[in-house]
Amino acid sequence: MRRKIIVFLVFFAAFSLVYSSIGFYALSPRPSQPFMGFGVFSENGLLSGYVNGTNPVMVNRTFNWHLDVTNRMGVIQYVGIVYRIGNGSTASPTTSQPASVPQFGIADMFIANGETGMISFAWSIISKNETGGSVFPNLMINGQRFTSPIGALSGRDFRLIFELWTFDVPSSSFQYGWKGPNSRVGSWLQVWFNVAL
Amino acid sequence: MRFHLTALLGIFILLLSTFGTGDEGAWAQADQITVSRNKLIEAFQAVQAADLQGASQVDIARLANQLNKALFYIENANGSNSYANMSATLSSQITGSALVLQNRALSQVLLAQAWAYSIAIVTSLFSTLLLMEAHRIRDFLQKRRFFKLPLR
Repeated sequence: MRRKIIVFLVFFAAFSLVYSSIGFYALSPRPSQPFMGFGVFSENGLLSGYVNGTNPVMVNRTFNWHLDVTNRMGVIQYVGIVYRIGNGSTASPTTSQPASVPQFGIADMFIANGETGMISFAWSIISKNETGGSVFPNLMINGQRFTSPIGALSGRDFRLIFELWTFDVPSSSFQYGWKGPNSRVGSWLQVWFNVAL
Repeated sequence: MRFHLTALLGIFILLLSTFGTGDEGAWAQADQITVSRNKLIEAFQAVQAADLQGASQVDIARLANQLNKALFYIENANGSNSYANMSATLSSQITGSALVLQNRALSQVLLAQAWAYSIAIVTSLFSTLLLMEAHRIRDFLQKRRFFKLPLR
């Protein structure tokens, strides 16, 4: 009888282990690679033809672009898109460092996991200053006026730089890129344009 | 002459008080926007915590929309305090809803775990009994087969 009880307990423990493991596996969240992505869409809703047919860009021509930001981080994110203007010699952002040129502004929004948020980006050149052959455009972005501190010779090779920033709860501030499995991953895009003289 | 001096002093004090009120208003508004922004961040943290606890995606998406609405109020708060107040009120409501979701998600997870492990224990018990008493079942079936055999 005692032997039978021991055998019963051994079998019961073995079965419990197996079935509990199955239960644990069933309840565990599926492994997934967290990531965030964004795209700049032209007026036609395409990832091309941003200043189609109007490059060099004329003064007072408004472009209605939009930025789509996708969140696959597994949790809701507070996202900011920082925009800057650069020229051909401006150092580009990297996967770990944002661009060093001053930012014009930030468009922020909350995006739930698995959702794609849309941020409008309407811009135009309202006027320009010319100094020593270099052109400095004055821009209107989403209804706000900005004077570019960056100029370009003959108005050529300007670029709008867009950077993805996410709100970091521990530091309570926006940080460049998104939090990857090991380190932060910087994400940025740029659109080149020329300014009509 | 005395009347002139008193009048001038009066006008000066009036002007000072006007400037003072204007500054206070601007400070109060900036303060209100800072308060609203802090409340919005608090609400975001609460929603993120609920999301991490396993709250439903439909509820989180609904709260994300409300967070965006509160953010819109803050961004349009220039000129009046009412938008900043609306944002703060909405943020507080979001925080409340997120806390409810957190508790609900936590209890649902605990309930699901309790169910899963209870089923595992019960199944283990039946499996052990089945394995240990298999010979009885075999004997029973053999006996049934034996009694069903036709007599000659």
